[in-house]
Amino acid sequence: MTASIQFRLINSLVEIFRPIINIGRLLRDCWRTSRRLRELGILGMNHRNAACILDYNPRCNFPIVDDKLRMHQLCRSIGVPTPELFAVFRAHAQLRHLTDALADHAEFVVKPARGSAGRGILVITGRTATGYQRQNGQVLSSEQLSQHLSDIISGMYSLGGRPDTALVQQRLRLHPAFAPYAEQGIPDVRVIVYRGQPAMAMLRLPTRLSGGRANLHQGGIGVGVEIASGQAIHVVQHNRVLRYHPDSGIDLHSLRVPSWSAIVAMSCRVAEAVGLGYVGVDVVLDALRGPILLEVNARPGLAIQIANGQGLLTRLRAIDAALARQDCSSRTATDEQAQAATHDAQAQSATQARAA
Amino acid sequence: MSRSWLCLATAAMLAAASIVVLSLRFACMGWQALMPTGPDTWQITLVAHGRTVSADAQLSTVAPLELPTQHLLREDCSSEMLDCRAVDADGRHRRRHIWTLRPGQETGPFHLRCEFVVSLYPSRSQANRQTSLAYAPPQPGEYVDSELHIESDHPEIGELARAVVAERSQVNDQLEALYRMVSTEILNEPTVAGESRSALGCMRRGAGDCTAKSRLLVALARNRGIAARLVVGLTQSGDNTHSPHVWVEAYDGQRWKPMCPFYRHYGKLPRAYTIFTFDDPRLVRGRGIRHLDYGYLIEKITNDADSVGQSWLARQFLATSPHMLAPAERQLVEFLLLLPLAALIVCVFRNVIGLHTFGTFAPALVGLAFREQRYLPGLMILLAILLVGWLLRHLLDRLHLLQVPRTACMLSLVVMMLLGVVLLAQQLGYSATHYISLFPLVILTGMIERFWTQEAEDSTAASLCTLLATMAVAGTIGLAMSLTAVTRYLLSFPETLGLILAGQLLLGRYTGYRLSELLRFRDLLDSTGPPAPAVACALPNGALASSNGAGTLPSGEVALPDRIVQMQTVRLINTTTNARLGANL
Repeated sequence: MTASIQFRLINSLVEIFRPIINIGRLLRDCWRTSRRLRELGILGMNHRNAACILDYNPRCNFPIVDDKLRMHQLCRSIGVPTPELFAVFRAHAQLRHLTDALADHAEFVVKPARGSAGRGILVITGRTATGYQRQNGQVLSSEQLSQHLSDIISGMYSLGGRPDTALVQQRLRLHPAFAPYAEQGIPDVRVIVYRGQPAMAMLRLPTRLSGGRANLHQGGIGVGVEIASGQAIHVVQHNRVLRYHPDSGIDLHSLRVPSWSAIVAMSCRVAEAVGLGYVGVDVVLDALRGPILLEVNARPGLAIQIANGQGLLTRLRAIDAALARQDCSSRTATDEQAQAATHDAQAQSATQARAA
Repeated sequence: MSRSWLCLATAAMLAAASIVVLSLRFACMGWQALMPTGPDTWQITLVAHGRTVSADAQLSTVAPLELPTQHLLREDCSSEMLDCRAVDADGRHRRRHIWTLRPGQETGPFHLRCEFVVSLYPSRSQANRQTSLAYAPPQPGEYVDSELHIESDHPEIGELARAVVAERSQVNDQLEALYRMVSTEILNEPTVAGESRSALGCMRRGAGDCTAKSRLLVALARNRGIAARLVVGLTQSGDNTHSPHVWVEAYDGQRWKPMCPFYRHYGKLPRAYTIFTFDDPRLVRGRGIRHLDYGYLIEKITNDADSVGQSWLARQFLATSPHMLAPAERQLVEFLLLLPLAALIVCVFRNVIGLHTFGTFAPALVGLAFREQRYLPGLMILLAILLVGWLLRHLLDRLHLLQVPRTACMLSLVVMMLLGVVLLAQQLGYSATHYISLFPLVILTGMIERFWTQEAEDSTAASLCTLLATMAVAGTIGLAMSLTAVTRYLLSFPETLGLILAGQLLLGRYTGYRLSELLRFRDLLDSTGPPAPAVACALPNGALASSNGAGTLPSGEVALPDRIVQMQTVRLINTTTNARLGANL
């Protein structure tokens, strides 16, 4: 009798304290998870902002990467290939010459220079008798195309609605090496460059689900790529690990990005030229021209870690350590030179004194 | 010193400084810091009850005035049936509280209670530097005319006044003579309901209560061309419950001279004369209310021993305390003090928890706007307007408008909707401004725009999620800010702002994970790294650091083969970076 009362009492006490126990467990789990993430070297948003972007990306250099026209000019000057620029429209009046300017080009891409998230981009795949054919089959008349360019110039697609410049660029073609992996759209390679060194890379494959856009958010596939070889090592879609392509069923681990060394070298060169210490460089492989720089992102996202199944922080620390080592060794080298110089000077003064 | 350490040191210094000030204040003032009661502080309690008989029943009560001689430290008004709203329209002569039925509340018996804490000062003391319009010299023609119950131009009054004043030419002498006559020759009587209390009646009967005697004195003074007025308030007499007391102030050319013909004080009143209003002796009045009854209680809550103001430092703390501000300024300061705290809460939500909201401080402002509980139905209206606005935004999108004119259009549409809500509420018999604080209007426009942008770029679900997070943050802030203890604490110890700033600085260099990231990266927890060869990272001088070579992983965690991959890449990168490093050196 008493035993059962005691049992009930203990039970009710446990019931009373259960929420507190649960909260305690939750906090403990959170703590363990964050410790484990730290062990795995996962870079968090706060750490990225405070230690990478704020420390290595001076704000004054952001306008270069945000403006596609300035990026194009910069790449030309350092010899990095970018999509060929067919025409630039800065003012509404220039649109009168639209048909003349585009007379030689059957296919092209129209972009706002300061657009974001792919807004305002128009892909023209060919010409029909009535006008320009879009990627999705829709046919635009010359007036409609002119209207779109006019919208871009008015700033409808730019950040903050500021007047913008409309660019007409070469349309990039799918590289044959990627043909089995992408039914529609063009895959791109994202390389994170930290203090001039490549830190991590991934390949983004568009799928049917993502509607031909290489955007992980919208269902694109993220393929973690070995930084030294361009070999696929880890594949995710919507944060879930994959092995086979959901559209074609092809084994994604067999993928190896062609011209990999050129892509990495190009990324480093561009990162150095824009003067930012932590950037995501987006490169596209063109069927004819090979690797072509698409754009540079001054605030690259963290999803690349999920695509690689690895933490970025470990790599950044390794780069920091290696640069510090190198800095150290070069400093000792200069110290030695300085010592040698003083030694020479002393010897000289000694011989002078002796001569006197 | 690294940035984080510098930040930590700054935060520590700030925190230390504010803790020092805080403890110093506490050491000097003790618990007085929470409510600095002067040497002479009184608590006044008003209780009223009755029956509302119509839906538009309205009750108005008068609160103590903020004057050079008295400072209102605190006021709390509460009732279960009625909503209270302070009306300061005529703050010079009267501060009123208007009580109306809560929406959805049936007519019936009600009960209300107000508490005021008032500090009184013997004269224009250093503690209260408020200049008050009520004590400015009277305008020509002000306070000299005859009015209802003060028949100053009646021949009998004139006769008496002339007889009393006689040959005296000085205003002061005239006033003193009139006061002496009323205070000594007119008998004191208790207040009896239904009795006429006019000046003339009092004179004819030769007796009257405080109201009647004061009216007579005012009428006599005005008859002689001296500006005089009734003062209505409370004073302490023997027992504990009090009806309003009435006395007189007359302008003698330099100042308003107080005189109480009932308790016989001239020129200088004893303590505990709390001024509520001028001219109108009725402190509580109702419309659509039956069986109204009310009573006042006035109690002293300090004795002279425990008053502040002993040391110089304590006096300085007292003089600079936000508690000493006039009620309107104090409310503003309360709001200002809450803003940094709300911003800190936003920082926690965004950088520690990792919630995305529309706008950075928009949820804080919305939360602050709705910190009063009676605004909660307004929050529902706000949400409804947000959703309707979002639908309208979809319609506007077809027109392809430029951003700024589009936002302007949205603002106009939001104003139209709000106008509709206000007019509809009027039709239903509610006062909408009572439930909607109109100031988060512009924030609302911005929120609709952001809602639409996110929907277009991501999905409706993501947009709704963000909206939910925004409302959660706003709700938390609103709840935290609605605690009167928080407000009172901040008002008593404004140096806490230093601690809040220190907290913000620390969060500014917080590089740990956000709670949401624990979820986001949860799949990485299971994998101990991909079954791929070590990923080598190319570095200058042929140095290759592999991801597990840096020693950050504990031994046995991820044992990847320490393979060095020699490649063309390495050479390529080496040449570029070496060239750069060489240039730098």
